[in-house]
Amino acid sequence: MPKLTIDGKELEVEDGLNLIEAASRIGVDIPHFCYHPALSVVAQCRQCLVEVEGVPKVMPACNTYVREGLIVKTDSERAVEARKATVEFTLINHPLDCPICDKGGECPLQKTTVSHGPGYSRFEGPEEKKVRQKYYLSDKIIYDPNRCIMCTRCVRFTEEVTQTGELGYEGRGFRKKIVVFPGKNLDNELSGNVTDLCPVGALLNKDTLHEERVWYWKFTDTVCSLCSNGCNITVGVDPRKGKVARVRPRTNVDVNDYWICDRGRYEWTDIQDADKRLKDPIIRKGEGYEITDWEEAVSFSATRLLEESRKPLQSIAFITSAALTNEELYLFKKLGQTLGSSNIASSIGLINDKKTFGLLSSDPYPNSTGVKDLGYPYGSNMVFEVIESIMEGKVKSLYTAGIDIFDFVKKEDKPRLSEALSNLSLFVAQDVMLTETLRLAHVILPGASAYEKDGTFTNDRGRVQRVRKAITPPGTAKADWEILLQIGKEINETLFSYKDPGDVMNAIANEHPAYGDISYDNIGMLGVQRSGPA
Amino acid sequence: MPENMKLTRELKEKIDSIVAKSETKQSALIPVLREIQNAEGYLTNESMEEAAKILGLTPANVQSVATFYTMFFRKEPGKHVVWLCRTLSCALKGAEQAEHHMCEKLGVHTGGTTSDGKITLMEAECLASCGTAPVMLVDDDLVENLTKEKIDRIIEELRKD
Repeated sequence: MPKLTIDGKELEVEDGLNLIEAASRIGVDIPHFCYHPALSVVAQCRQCLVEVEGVPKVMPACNTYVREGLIVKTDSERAVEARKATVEFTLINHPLDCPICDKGGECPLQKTTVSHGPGYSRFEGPEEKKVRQKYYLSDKIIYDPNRCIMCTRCVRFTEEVTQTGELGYEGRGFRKKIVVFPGKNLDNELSGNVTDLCPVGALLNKDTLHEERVWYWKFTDTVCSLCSNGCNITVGVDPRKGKVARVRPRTNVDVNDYWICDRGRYEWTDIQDADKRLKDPIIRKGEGYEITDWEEAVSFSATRLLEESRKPLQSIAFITSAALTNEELYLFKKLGQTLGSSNIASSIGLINDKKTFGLLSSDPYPNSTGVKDLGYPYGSNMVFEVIESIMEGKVKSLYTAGIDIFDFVKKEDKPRLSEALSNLSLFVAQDVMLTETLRLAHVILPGASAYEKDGTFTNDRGRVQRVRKAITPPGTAKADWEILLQIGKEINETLFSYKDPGDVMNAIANEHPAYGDISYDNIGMLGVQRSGPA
Repeated sequence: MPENMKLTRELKEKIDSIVAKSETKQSALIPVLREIQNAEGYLTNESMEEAAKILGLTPANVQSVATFYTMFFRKEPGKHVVWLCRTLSCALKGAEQAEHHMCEKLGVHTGGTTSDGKITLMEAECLASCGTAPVMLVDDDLVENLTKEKIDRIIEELRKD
């Protein structure tokens, strides 16, 4: 553990740390463009220059490592002047188009120019900056060579992290550009990360090009719900539009490192398609449907469920999926048990360790582990068994949440399932979008997507992580936990006296020893490992 | 590896011997590209992809190297290549005027090839003859103390060839 001094402050850090990392431990921010903790060190942007006592020249902090007795000055005149000169040099060919640049407002070059730059350029005047055409590197990412400062982070990312090597250079010096090989695309599953890595506005997302301004956004730290890996994300929402503008990775070295996949980044948008979403509760009346309010929908569902449960030879089935949060799964199961159901099941993904780039799981559900942990009778057969008994007419009433059960039957069995569902004496269904299943329900309850509610998911390695509400669901749609809680309260006030998801988690902790130590107070930003095997 | 269809057997053998002599496969890249250029005149996308396959590199990586070095051609060069020095001493002695004169005379921009495919005009970094600046390299011969008349004469000769 070498001891060194940075800006007069002594600190002791572990071996192998560079000066950028070491300085950050004492809150000293050394500006840098080419350095990234997940990539190799190339020391070519020269923005992190600092003075090291005993060394005649200023040194790049990214490529200078801690040593016993090292005395580093980041704020000496020489260091400050050196960094100023670097900013001026970097800006020689960087256009002054921040007002129309998507990166503006969160641009490391912009910030560094303000905090470390000279405040003027000796190159103002008739000098012309380079003018080159923008081009696409893939159908998602556009490249603007004029803004590029050749930090090479994106190229090193494709070489070192994805090891797909799509990106390379063309030309040299002033003419150098980032290119893909002719006829090829930047098309690996992590490609979107280069837009986050880019410290300028050279690599931008096509989907929101010229549409968003980052300073309007409000950020919510949550978890991606598109697979069982549970990547930590930050969701940027423009409150004026009430829509998610961008999903970005949030660093969590235990789960997703610094990255998310393109699915998580780009392919969640259908939940924002207002035409596809269910906005209000709907009750079937006669042959038609009627939009109703929650009071009626909830009391109707609760009354009818109770009636059904009291019938002799009752047979109520409860089917959900691993897309629901732990809290919702808990409430759903409890509701089923309260009504004496012996057919409670949840779909579940196949959990295995084979992941693309270490973070893309083939299990499409965020909470398959949660389903198992909460004591759902699991096994891939369970949902099929319940559906089979529905088709055989053994089930008289059904409650589904977040699942389209038609996905689980063969094409030739679909008419049979349709008929069986039509013959149910009660069918309550809750989901975010209209599905084949929902069309046959007596009551349709509009739920919320994972970006619209609070709760927890347990990822495939048993890590319990918080999902947080970033946007409000469309119309009067409610979070699934809220719907379940309201119906539960209507059925049995005392059994369902929870206030919020945090309260439900406390109940889970009481009942399930693996979650014994977990509460919303200690899950924190990065989640906690529940006990027991992953 | 699948049978190489694009490079001739002879070229393939030369490449194999270069790779065998190299410490790492990557270090064989430049000699291999030179060998391909000698055989085919310039580097096509296909031949760069072949080189990448042989050396276990990505095509983008080969492209980066091939475009970094000015002596690799990505388009078919003319029969003769003229390299005009653009470094300091020559610049001070009027290399820029020489360049303008050449461009006008040949009807091409620097980097271009005349429509008859005879002459390609390139610029080069220091040709190590500052004492006799401005200079240019005509194929492998150094021409010193350039004047407009000298340039005209050389162009005439190259055109006749």
